[in-house]
Amino acid sequence: MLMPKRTKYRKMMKGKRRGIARRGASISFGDYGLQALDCGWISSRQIEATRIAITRHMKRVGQVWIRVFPDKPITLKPAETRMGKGKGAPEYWVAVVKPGRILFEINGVDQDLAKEALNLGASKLPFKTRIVSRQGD
Amino acid sequence: MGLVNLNIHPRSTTGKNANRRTRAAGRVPAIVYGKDRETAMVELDTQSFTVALSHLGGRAAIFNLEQEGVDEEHIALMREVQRNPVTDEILHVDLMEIPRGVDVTVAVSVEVVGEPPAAVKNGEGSVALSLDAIEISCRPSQLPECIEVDISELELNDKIFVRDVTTPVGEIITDEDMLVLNIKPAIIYVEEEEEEEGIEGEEGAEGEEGAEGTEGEDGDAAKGEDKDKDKSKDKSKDKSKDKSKDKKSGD
Repeated sequence: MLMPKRTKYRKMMKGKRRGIARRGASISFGDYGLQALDCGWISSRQIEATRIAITRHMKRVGQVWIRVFPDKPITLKPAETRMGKGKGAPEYWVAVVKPGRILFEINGVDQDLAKEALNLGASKLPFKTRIVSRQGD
Repeated sequence: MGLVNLNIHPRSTTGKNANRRTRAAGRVPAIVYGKDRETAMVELDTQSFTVALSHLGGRAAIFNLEQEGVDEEHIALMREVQRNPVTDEILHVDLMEIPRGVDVTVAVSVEVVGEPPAAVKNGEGSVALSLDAIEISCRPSQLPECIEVDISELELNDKIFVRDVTTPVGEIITDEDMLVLNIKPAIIYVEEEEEEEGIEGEEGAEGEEGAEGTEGEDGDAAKGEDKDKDKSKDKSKDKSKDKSKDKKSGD
């Protein structure tokens, strides 16, 4: 699963997700893409599940690009623990997604297959998405 | 290629709020600039601009600018259209005026024509388009709608570079060594199957470990231990208090 090789600091604050995506909001590599319509966190497991769903439906032809990288560590406190005693331990990694962000791009398959594959992938994600194409149709 | 007419209206207001009001009124803020002319802030009718864009159909956007009360017409090239990435609403348009009788450099879109090779039909390969548009220099009136690239005679791993492309008019400006498209062999993931199964297996094992029942039991046990500790602490505190009281009474 995707995660940074090394980081400067182990833990990070929650942060805000307001606004829309100013970067990574247009298709750059493939012909079809999956664009986020809501804000949220997408975990490395969700990214992997989406990628597997897309590549399996594409019968492993064509090419898939992942346009987000989970670089934000999320900490959790153990169950049944009293409050206090500091911040919890890092448990998983997420990518912060804002509306408009292109999450995945695919190429090398026809339009129908691309839409089916991206729809299957979209069902693994925790927010609304839409399929966009380079041609704009 | 005929030019598309576009009505422009002068604009005096600037800034975020004024532009927001302009958009709410059904107009798009725009700017017209060019060589040997003053930059002019204008606004366009949103609906007519959207219709004009759809008429272009992917061609290089060159407009014939018309302004009410002004007889002089200008030719302008659309340099940029800013859009809201979520709603696709047009936010701002950049237009660059082109002097008449002078060659312009415009990026013309590449269109793939011809029957795809057998390798593509069989699924052994795919057409990978690396370059969407090629810059050519020509008169605005002679600008071609698109540059056609024929792929009917290509085979697997064949490539087409800019030097292989011909245009009916004008001169190609883009670097001739740049790749336009190639017939790419399909990427088949063979080793992935085992890895995926391994990952899924691990996930399942983790799920079993983290079952609610076991967590609950552990949690109860931990609670019990905590309670015992608290009780012992309280007892020791009481004992020490009693001792101090006895001492005081003795004095």
